[in-house]
Amino acid sequence: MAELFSEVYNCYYQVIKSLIEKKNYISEDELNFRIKNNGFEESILYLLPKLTKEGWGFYEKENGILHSKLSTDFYVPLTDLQKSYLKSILTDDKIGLFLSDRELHKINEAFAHISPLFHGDDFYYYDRFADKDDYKNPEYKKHFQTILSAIKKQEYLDILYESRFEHRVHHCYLPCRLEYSIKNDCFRLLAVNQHNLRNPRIEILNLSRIRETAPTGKRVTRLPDINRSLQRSYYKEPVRIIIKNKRNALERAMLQFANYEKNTRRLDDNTYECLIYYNKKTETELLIEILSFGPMIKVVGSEAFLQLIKERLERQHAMLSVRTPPS
Amino acid sequence: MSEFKELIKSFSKSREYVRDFFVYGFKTRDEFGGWSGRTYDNERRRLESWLSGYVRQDYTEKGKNIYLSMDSNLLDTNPLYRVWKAKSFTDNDIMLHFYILDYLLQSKKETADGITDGILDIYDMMFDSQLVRRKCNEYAKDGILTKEKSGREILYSLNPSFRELLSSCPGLEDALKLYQLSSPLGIVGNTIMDNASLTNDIFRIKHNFFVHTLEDEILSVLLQAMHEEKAVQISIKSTRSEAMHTMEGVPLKIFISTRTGRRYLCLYLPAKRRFTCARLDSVKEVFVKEPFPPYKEIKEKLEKNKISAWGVSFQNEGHTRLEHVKLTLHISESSEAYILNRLQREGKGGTILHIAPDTFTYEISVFDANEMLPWLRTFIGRIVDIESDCQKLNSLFRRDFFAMYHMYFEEN
Repeated sequence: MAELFSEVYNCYYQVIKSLIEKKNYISEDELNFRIKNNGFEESILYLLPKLTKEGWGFYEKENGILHSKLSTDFYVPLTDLQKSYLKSILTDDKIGLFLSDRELHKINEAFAHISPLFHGDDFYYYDRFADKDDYKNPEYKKHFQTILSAIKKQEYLDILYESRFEHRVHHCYLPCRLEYSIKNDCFRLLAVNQHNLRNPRIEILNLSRIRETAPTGKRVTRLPDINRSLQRSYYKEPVRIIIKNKRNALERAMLQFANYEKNTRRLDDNTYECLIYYNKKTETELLIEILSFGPMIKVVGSEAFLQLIKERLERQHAMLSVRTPPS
Repeated sequence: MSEFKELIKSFSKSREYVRDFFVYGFKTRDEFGGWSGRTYDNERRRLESWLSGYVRQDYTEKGKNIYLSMDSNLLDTNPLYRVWKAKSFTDNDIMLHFYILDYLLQSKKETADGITDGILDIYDMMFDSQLVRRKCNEYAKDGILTKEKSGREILYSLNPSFRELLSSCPGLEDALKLYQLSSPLGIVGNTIMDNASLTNDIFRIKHNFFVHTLEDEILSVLLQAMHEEKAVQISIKSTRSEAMHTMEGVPLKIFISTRTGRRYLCLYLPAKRRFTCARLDSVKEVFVKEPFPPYKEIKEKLEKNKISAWGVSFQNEGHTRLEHVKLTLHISESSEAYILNRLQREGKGGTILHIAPDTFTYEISVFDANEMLPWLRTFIGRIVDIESDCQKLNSLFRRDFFAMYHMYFEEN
């Protein structure tokens, strides 16, 4: 089987493929721009002379314009490694959200001679939450597909949503992204409420709690910048933690918090300071993640987060204080 | 001084660097042990080139430190995939790639000599026909070309385009956008997106550990050994001491923690007749050995055993079969139902009982109760009692809690 670390997947190959499949001529300025946009930062230094001067000969220069010798229909067939990956994802329980049984059958037939790269059974997510979404539920699938289509069309949806306390609320939302959580094995919709479009604030809806979805026909020309909205939702002051490197705590913490925007520095041989950026929605999750490290991590800021930790410790201390602390 | 190159021949050294820059992010030039200053400078420059936009730098008393900062909630793909796309190649490699595939698009089926002549005719480029044949054979082996015999000739042809399949199954396009982020070996899905010029504008991912992709080559070899029911010899580098050692066993499953980001290879050790787990990121080399005939039987045994493992440990210090843990929690019935939900969804089927107003117990028996400690600490503020026949769990919890309390309220 083809190797994963192979030149076939090389970034330069992809840059050239994207250049030739678009059109059969290009100016040097555009070439420059496209390489800078799609290549690595320093790719231009190597690629430009190879494409414009005596190099690989893919282009012929005429009146300052580069004419491609290759067809715009150019394509690279999938490698067996790529086919075996596709074969693997066809067995996942979420695939039915995207493909019909007939389509699944068709793809399986196309790759009949290929073995899957992995099976679901090869992996065991031993601390994954038990209340995953029901991907086989026809209603769930219908809502998923309506949302998917609305994101692509940039169209408002009428959504009937049932909150955690079983209150039903009806709102008009602009769906922006679908978020999949590996830990919860569920989807959430990141959307903007119709009334907040000028100052977009991302609202998060659990797909399993969506009861009805209806397209409105009303569209926008551009989706709001959700990264800006998410970043704006982060507290200005990050959580500041001190990590004592005992019992491999540093390595554990650096991996566990690798998901967050963070910044770490060494204070002395055995002590490190780490700043972690977070928002209101991730606050409790971060709090209990930090608590799970016990005395290996100490929160020193922000004051608000520190108070949350202290409140829990005081409550716990009151519960344990009837017993004698260990010597 | 040799010329700096953005591309690399071997992945292993860069993998260690990227991991250190990404996971730690506080090491200065002097603190990267094991390699010379020149190597550090080249690796750092490559990293800045591959991952520009994610590289940050700070100045500390000890010097400049470079680190990677990625907020996975804000990204459409895993930027670390770019490291896989930096394999070096020769001029002939890239030229033959484009000329052979473009030529076969027009001529459908051709011998290696025919392709060599065709490339000269159409593109005015001359190659040794042996080189062309070698590349065609390589691509036939990889699945890009079909190689067939016709009389005494070997003919090569282009396999169908992925776009064709996409046009008849358009949902696959959206599925790829999700799976390249969420599935194991998502890098392969990402290369398929490159192949079809797709970008993800729909999905975001939560609780994803981007750094896992750096282990994907090791993972794919282990998966193949698992599918072929073969034993392996692995070289392991300790994450604590950095010492290397080897281990032989039968790979059965990959255990993944969605909470801590750790992945483990679960092996059966025939000589010791027990299961063990090794951190996947500590496995540096894999040698596939002979088939292990009782593979299915042992795998079934693992399936039964894993239910009683809280994490990745299959034995305890007391050498008893199972250790019992009983957690008593104060949970307000009127306002803290979400804590009960937590116990249900995170508690791996443990028994929950309502024993008094606002008081609940949670009980479970596991191989190694010590593994539960980090999870138990997440309930700090509500724990009325922890009872277990694992004495170490009780004493560690209490000792750590009082150390924490002291740290916040009595230090300074």
